[in-house]
Amino acid sequence: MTPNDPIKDAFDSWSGQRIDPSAARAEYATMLPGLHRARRVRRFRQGVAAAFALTVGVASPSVIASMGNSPAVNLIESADGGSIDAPPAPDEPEVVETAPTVELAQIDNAATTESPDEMIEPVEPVEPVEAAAPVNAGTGQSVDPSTAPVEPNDGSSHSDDTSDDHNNLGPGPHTVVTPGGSMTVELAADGTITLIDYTVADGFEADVDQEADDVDIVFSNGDETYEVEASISDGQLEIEKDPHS
Amino acid sequence: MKGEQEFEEFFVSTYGGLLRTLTAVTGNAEMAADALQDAYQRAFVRWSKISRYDAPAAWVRRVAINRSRDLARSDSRRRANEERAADPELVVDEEVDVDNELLSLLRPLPERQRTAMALFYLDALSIDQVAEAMNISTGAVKYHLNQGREKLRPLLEQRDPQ
Repeated sequence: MTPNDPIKDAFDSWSGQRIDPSAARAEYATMLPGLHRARRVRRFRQGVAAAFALTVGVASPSVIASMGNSPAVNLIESADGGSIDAPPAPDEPEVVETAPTVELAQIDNAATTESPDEMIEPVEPVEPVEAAAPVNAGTGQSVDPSTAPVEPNDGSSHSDDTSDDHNNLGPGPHTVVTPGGSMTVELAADGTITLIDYTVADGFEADVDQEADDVDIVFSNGDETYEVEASISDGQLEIEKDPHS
Repeated sequence: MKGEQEFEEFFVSTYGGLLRTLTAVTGNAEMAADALQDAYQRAFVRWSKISRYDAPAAWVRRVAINRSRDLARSDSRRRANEERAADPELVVDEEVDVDNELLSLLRPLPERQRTAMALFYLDALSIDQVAEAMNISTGAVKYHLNQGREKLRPLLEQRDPQ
């Protein structure tokens, strides 16, 4: 690159899309409702696990108190634009695959009572609950709980998670799988997250960002990108899978 | 850096530059704005984490570039469907024109070359930084830059004959 580089000159002289700070601030004001909405949706997704725990009766009293008397109401939308169905009526058999929902207004209320210094509030802690069906780690096939060998609850169990998000996961390794690769993490006794292993699908590259309280892997092949993120919320492991951008 | 106020300052200080870059990358101002909005949303909901990064703007840029690829693919499919359904004589170019010769020069380049050129020349990133932003090796960045230069140079000479 030289001072007379015509290519550099072409870029330097480009006047397009110059935005001054006041215009950027106006753009931010326009975008702000969408930002708040995205945050509420993310909170909702975090709250689904708590509501699920409530449905199966393992939630802590603090969660029950925070959810009010009517934890199961329709959700308007999920983060990917889809809707989540209402849970079954109390007299119907529980369907594990159906995510219970919480009242969006409650999420809105939570958003307005947050500390101004911290934008993302942790979810109320609940007792660890494993919603996924038991999986044979070797074959990846579902295992019938009635015939599966009983393992001691020593934190060594291993689950393959394929749904989008998982909150308040218990001890032991947890694997989340995407078309771009997989990640296995474990909540260590000292409260940090350990990245045990990750795999990368053919044609993909992995970008690993590992911190003590957060492990984030982005799998990308140039055309598709998948992100898996494990973080700690109130001492509980939380995994999010996002087929984003 | 925490909180909404800090995020707003981050947005104001970075939006203009990133919008220029993404516009050059996509050749489409509307698509660039959409990709950026999505990236900023993702940063907003994760701000307690992203704000601790050395370069939060680099994270937003990277997410936006990835998002713009998705949008470009969707747009390409939509256009193909529309063109198949439409009278060929009535098909018109719907590219958003942001009045720019540079963009018209860049548009014919493959996406990787366009991205590398925009990040290197417009954002003034180093080869290493471009490689990180594009999630490719530095060798690949040099290759895309060289290819881009070879294609742009004759176009520029054609534009400005000596």
